Amino acid sequence: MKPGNMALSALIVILLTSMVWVNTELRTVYNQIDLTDKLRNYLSIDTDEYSILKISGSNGYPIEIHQSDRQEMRVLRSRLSQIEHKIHGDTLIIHFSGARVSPSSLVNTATPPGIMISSTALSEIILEDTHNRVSGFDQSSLHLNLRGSSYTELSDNRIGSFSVQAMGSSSFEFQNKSSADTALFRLKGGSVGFLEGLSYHVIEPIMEDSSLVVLSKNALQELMHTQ
Amino acid sequence: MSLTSIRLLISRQFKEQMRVYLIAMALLIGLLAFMFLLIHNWRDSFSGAVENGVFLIGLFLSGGLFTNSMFREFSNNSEGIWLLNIPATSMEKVVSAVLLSTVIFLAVYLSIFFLVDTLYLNLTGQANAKGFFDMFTNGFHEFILLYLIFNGLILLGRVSFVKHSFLKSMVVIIAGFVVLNTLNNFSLEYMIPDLSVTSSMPLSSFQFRQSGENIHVQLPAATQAMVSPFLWTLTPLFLWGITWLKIKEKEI
Repeated sequence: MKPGNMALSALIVILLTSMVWVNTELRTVYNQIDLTDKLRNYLSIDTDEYSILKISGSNGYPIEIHQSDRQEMRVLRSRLSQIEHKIHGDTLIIHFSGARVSPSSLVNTATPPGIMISSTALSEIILEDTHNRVSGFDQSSLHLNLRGSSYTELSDNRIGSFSVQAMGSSSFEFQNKSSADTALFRLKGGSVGFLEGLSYHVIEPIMEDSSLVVLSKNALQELMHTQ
Repeated sequence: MSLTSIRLLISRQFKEQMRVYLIAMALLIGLLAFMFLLIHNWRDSFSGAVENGVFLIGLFLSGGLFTNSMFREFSNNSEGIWLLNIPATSMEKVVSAVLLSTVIFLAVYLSIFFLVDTLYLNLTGQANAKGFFDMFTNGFHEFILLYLIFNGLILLGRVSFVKHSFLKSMVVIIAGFVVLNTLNNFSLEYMIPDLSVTSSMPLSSFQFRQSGENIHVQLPAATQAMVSPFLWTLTPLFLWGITWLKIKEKEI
């Protein structure tokens, strides 16, 4: 056999042997997955305590943030390499990189969440360029700071003093019933707020630039009545 | 191995082919601009990392054709004998071809891509909102390392096949990838009973179906750190080495 063909055969043998060895390692990882767990497709990541959440990055996969009796962060196994996180003071800073998709395709997307964050209580959530679902918060106050082209769906929240600051081309939408004693909205740039799913006692909207608020007929009448 | 010989071999290539290279560069600019025009016109249909797609199509298409132009003399007997008689060792000839088709090609390709991408983003008013192309997120730079393996395979095909070497090399590369992937899936399904592999990447990860859900299994970071240097460094070195052996066989 010629030296070139011998070397080529050796490379093929090395590649195939490595492939089998790597597959035995992958089998070990597979055996650690609890297939009966409904969150089997997610890996848990440990973090220190925090009260402010700051997330930036891409909108390809939704990020779920909800209140729970314990603090936990889970990441979709296939997206693990795309998340960077660190604690700075009492702020958990997350960068979730990846592909960006058209904002019009985010509504009712069937894409599974890329990150699921459970938190006992949060004072502020800062979201930039990501697709977010904030739900289940029942606390005295919460400040939501939306930047870039972030799109945030809000559902089933009961907040005493709920303030939302939206900038850039960010948008937020109250879907299932959320309530607030006092709702403060400050919208700038080209931001848009859909307030149909929110009930409130007091509302204070401040709107600048070309920002928009979208209301249903009932919500508009309720707002006029409140004012 | 003499650095002077390598420099002279690269200079010879430029002197003989400069006109072709200038036309090819203009063609590459046109191809990239055309692809950017397409994704801009149908931007609602193309979502996700479309710039990355344009980058990869341009890289592998132009890189493959350029690499295949190395040692083109071997497709003709008399020119092949002339190339073998050039007063430089076969190692120097391989090193000069590798430098031209990797280091120099990548420098030119990246410059052209960033130029066209910058023009596209500025002309479509996306420069501020979107930011410029970043090839160091999500491991995208690994495609550059994959290009080195691709380069090794095309060079090896160039010296192995006398006629239609690019087409034959591409057929062998695609067939090789299909066979490797099939063997990989077979190996995984043999090792793990009742596993239904939906996709896999040899030496890296696989995905399987469980109760209607695709579950991704990735190598642990420590193991990946062991495999990656072998895959990205030794494989192209091995392929360039085999190319050198094949040229030496021609000398004999």
